[in-house]
Amino acid sequence: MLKENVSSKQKEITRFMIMLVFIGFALFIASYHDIVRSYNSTLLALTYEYGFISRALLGTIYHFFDWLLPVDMIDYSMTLLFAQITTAAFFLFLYWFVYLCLKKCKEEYLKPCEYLILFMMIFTITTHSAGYNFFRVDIMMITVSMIGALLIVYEKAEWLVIVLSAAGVLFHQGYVFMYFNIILILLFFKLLIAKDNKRRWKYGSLFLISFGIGSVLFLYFEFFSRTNGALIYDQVLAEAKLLAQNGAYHTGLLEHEVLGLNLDDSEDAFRRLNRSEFMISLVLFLPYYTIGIKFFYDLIKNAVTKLDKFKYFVVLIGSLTMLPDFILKVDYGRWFMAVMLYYIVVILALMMMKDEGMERQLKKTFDSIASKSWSFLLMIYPVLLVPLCDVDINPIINFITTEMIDVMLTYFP
Amino acid sequence: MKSLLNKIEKNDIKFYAALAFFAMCCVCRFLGPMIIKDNITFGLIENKTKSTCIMCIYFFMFFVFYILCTLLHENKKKMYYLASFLSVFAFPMFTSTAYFGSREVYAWAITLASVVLIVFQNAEWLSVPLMMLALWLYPSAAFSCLLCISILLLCQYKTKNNKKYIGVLLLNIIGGIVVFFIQATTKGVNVNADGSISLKKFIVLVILMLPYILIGFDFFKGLLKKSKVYILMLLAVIPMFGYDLLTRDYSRAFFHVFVYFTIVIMAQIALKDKAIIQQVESIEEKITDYVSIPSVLIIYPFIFMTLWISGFVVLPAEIFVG
Repeated sequence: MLKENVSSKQKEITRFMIMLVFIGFALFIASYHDIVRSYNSTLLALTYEYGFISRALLGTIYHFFDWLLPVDMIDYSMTLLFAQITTAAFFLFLYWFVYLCLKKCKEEYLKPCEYLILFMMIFTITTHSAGYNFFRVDIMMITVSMIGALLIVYEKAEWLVIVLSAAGVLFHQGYVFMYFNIILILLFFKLLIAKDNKRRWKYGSLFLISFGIGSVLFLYFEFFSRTNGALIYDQVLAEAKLLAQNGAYHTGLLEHEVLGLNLDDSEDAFRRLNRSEFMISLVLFLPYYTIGIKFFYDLIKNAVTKLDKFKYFVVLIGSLTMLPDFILKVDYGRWFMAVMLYYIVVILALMMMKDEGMERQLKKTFDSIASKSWSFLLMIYPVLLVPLCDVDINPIINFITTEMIDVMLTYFP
Repeated sequence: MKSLLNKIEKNDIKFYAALAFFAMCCVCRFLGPMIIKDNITFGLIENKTKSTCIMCIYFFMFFVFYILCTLLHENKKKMYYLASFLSVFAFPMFTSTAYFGSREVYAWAITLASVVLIVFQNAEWLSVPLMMLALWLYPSAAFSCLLCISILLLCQYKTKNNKKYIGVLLLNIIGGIVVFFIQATTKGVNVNADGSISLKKFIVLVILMLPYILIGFDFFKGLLKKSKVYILMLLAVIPMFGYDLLTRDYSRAFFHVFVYFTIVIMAQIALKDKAIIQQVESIEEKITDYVSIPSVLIIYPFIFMTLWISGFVVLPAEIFVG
């Protein structure tokens, strides 16, 4: 009986994974633009050769390969090749992550997880294949957090989350707002459900050390890492030109990261765009907001003990780490991606941990949606909303904000 | 008519409201900045207002067709599925920059009106003047719309064994040919091929659509065992596909094949064609055996409709940021 169950589960997982490979390939091939934007190529010019500067881990890895391999990698063609290989590795990792998720969760909850995974893949693959975010450092941050989540779920080499937290911030200091919450919330969740003092001590200390390291590195990179900017600027700029397509490097990134200039004023136009786009997104993402709010409301309401209610509340508010980014920064497309990934990865991690409340609620929500006549459309609709961009949330929202509102104002001034 | 409308349930209204929202989002996603801002001529329809009006009628006709099919068939979920499937081709196609304003929109809106008459089994003879009008406005519709109507009438004749349908079919073909040749000799057959996808992309697309080709072959293999008449339904795709390939309009070839088959299958299911209903059920079983999420079959072609055929909107911020 058990063997039969195992094989039927494995069969279902195999069927789903094959389907996901097809869908993933279609998403990739349809959205891939074969270009590394100036922002992402310029980032490769920053290395620890110039001191302990921010966002330099990726560049350092790139320069390590330049030193190791018998080819000159300081060239755009190699940037593109490196980007393609890194992105392929990221996608493979995503598939491995979802495979482990499905393997670990109970058979009766496979379907809801599969739908959640498909939803996540539609957004993640297109966003990181299309020109805007292709080879963006975000893929490193997502990988770091997902590996962290797996270590916590499998309870293997959990001390590595400290290293991963540090690596995330070394890739980009924005990690502390964007994807660090996945590791921190899962550690805090484990701390809350720990049954003995030994486990409480373990997860408490892991949480504090990870949080401490992330915070210290963030503060250092934000306030103290740009002391010798003027000395290295010309050298970094020359290399950035070689690494970029047609020598078009990203001025803003170099001025901000190397010289430490405050570019907030130049982003005023983007902030206005963000405000309008955010309002439109409230309408376009409404079906998913409604489902999400109802999901967490029921999850907390149906939790039996106060501790259960609290742990789910913590999961709910975990995405608030993104609030500073939403208020101070302008890349709303990326912030949307981070919020969405946070909820999906944490829910999948809790499903892997076999958290009963989460399992019950996810199944209930899935059954309720599946019974609706419009359930098909809910899965087709995301294709219209991708790829997520950076300053612009996505093409559809951008079009409504910049073009349609203009036209409406012409007709009804 | 009244008794039919009484069959509308709350679930139907919810589905069509959701589909209307989806249609609206498709318009927002695919209408390019050029269409909305610039005062230029589009295709063969001279102004934007006319193009917008006919687009509204086109969308309206699809909804009428969907509602009619849903009300005439017991298994509503199947109709919702097929309506969603048809929508992912029908909604983006003529709202995209490349095809907005094409006279084919007239042809499809009129064809759908004829399809509705056939499905409603009332005043089918009206399809003759309607199709002549469609071909007058867009002669190339002879290779898609006229074939679609002809096959539907032929299937009706096969199911009902009523000679009326053969008469209407012959009149449709004769009227269609006459109008086509008048237009072709006086004004010429206008082809507004835009090449929104290249031949290379199209070949890749055909390879990627292999699962659908296999499903199609399986479907017809079973169907032909039931009746040989259905071979014509399959063969009708040859002139349609061939014409689009000859004119190098690959996006249209992709669109026509899917839209033609889905419309005919939906209409035949609504008309209670047992052979097609059984075959669709058998394919449905096979699909659920192989595919763990059935809506993936709708998502998959929609990815290409959205990101390739209707294209990627160039965002101003991209130019601004550099």
